[in-house]
Amino acid sequence: VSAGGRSSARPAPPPSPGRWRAGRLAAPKARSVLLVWLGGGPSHLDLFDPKPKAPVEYRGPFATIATRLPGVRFTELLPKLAARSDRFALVRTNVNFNGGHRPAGSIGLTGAVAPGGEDAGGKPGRYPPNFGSVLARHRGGAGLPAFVSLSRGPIGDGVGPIFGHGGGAWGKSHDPFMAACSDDGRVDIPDLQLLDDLAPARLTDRQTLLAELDRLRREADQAQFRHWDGLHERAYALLADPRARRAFDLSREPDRVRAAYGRTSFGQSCLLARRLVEAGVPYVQVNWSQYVEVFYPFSDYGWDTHADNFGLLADWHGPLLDGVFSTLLDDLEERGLLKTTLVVCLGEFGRTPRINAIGSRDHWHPCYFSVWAGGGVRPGRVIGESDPRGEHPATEPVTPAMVGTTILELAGVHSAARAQLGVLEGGRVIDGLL
Amino acid sequence: MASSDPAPPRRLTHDGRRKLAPAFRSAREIAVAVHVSPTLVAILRLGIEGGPAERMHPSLTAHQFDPAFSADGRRHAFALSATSPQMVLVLQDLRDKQEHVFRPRDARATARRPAFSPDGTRVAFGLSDVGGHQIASLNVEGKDLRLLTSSAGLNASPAYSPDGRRIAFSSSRDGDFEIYVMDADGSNVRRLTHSPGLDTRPAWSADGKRSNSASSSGTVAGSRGVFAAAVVMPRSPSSAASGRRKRARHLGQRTRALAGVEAAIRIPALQSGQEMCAKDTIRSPLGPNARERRPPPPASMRAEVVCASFSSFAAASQAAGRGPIVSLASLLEHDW
Repeated sequence: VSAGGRSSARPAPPPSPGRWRAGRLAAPKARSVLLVWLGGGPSHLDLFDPKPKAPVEYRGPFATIATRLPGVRFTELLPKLAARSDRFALVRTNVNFNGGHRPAGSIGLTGAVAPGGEDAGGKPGRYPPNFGSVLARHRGGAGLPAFVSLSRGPIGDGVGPIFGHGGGAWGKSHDPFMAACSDDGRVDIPDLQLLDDLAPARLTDRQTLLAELDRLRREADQAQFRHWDGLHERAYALLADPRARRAFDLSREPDRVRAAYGRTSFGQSCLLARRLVEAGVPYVQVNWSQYVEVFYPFSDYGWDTHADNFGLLADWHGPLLDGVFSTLLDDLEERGLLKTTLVVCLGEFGRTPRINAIGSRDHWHPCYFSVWAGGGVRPGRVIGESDPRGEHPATEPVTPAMVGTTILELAGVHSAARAQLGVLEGGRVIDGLL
Repeated sequence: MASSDPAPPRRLTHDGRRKLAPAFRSAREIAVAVHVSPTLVAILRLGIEGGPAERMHPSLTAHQFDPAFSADGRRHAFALSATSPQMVLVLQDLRDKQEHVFRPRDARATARRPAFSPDGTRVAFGLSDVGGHQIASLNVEGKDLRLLTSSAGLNASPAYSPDGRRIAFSSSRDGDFEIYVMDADGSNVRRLTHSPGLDTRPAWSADGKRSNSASSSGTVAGSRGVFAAAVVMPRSPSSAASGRRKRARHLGQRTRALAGVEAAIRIPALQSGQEMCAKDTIRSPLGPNARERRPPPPASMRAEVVCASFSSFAAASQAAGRGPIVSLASLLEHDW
């Protein structure tokens, strides 16, 4: 295993739940982590790292605009984020170690390059856990799930899911709790869909829930019940908790707030993520992938703009990201949550600085960006610099292991705890970010 | 050109869904690409007098973008997601119920933003295929492909002049997107704008009477990125100098001339666009004090512009001199 990770074959030690709430440990700077995953690979040159002086076959058609940081410019697709650039830190030297969506996604979400990854015919059960699974295991949880992933399905590409999306070698019990959020704010929980009569809308109180469960137990044979009981235990526990039900209910949000996030799946998912953070969920991952917003049929991977990169970014991706992410930052700040919520926004890689033969951009893992805000991050700075064409870092590269180490460190999973859990040992935080 | 006060902008939609590229199907109906669900962008048609929006192609499950119609309303073109992730151009004869499909060569190539020639015999469009991002044209049967540009950078969003002799388009050949014009056969390319920011999606005035040049055939307008402005310019930059100030007064606008451009006109009726400009534009063509320079409602815009900004608003106006002048429609609920 490279990149600071550790072999997933090593048996995981027992959980070491944090007890900072009880005062036994110092509170972490980030009580919650909100990861916005731009699946598919957003173009760094067309968003946060423009190269207007590069040759025409590199630079792209977008002009640059000033930000609140002297000398720092974004493309004109991000005017709102440019106006908020003093609220977040930008890393321009992220690197990954694979150019395929699934292996790069696994590396990006676990910090580790495991042998036998997706491209080598590996299996999810051999893979290291997602950062969210690590934090969830460290913190534990009561009532609300500790790691929620917002998506209509498993994140990945047309070939299959990203192995690093969940618990990996720790087992399915450490996978994220999945929920889908539609553009109208409707929340679906896949684990509940096997039982038609047990829709969340009917479960107004615990008594109703228990009555329904009793009925189902009577009607289902024991084998069936054991099956879904194991799979859906967390889902029903969630439904039994009024606080959790409220957290997942976007209808409780004023129309003004829902409108501010926008009537898109990505926008409403970010609003749901804010509600979950507010309710105390330690780790929420919002996935912009083919299961959130789709602009190609059949094989759209979110930001995987092999064709018509510039048209799609100008019309759809750029404005959506700029508007929704700005609203998210504003909302968290206005509610006093930004200080204790680490917000990270990145994809698995960037896109080719050199425009391809059909006027678009392909995968590029040697250099891309990430955005960091709140939760102990020092805002208003740019970490690292890419070379004049945006092809490689000109300063120290930031690896996925450094991303994961920084996230976990801010969330209170310090080196000793990581060593105990067997993840990201020897990793170090991103210089200048904290 | 209209000189009377315009009717106030009339909002046509309230659903908050993202909409782009409105086009007049008739004098009383607009077609627009709408993000109707997380997994579908579809072309909807809606009457300018109200009423529910309806899908133009209800049987299609793939994304549809960029509706366009011939001046007589007989023909319809749009971009359609076909396979992974190619986009083809669909050309329909609405009268004879015939359909032709143009498929680019490369499996990932795209054909976007079609525009009919005034006589309805050809369609210009942006073709992203082997050879780069160029302007091309086809006959209405999807044949006789002609590449009209062969430059570096990206070339996109063609628009025929009312007399069909010229095509305005946007190109990044010299840096960021600027507006250019060329003869309809691709020759005689000239750059019209020299501004920071995204100048794209040009459109021409309907009657072509505004120009003071005998050889001119119309006025070009385009959208300007985050600034949410429409740029109105004569076809020939050199013809602008003498008449620039007078024309600006005639338009009833508070304007500021830009290099090679007759006037930059903000669209204050769009509250969302205003807010975005006031709060978020770091640098705009009007400079840092854009908020204080907010002009009065732009009467002339009624007859000038069919534009769709990439990020801030969508607007529609009269098309090809048909029907009533339509008030500006704020098609977006949000300021992005």
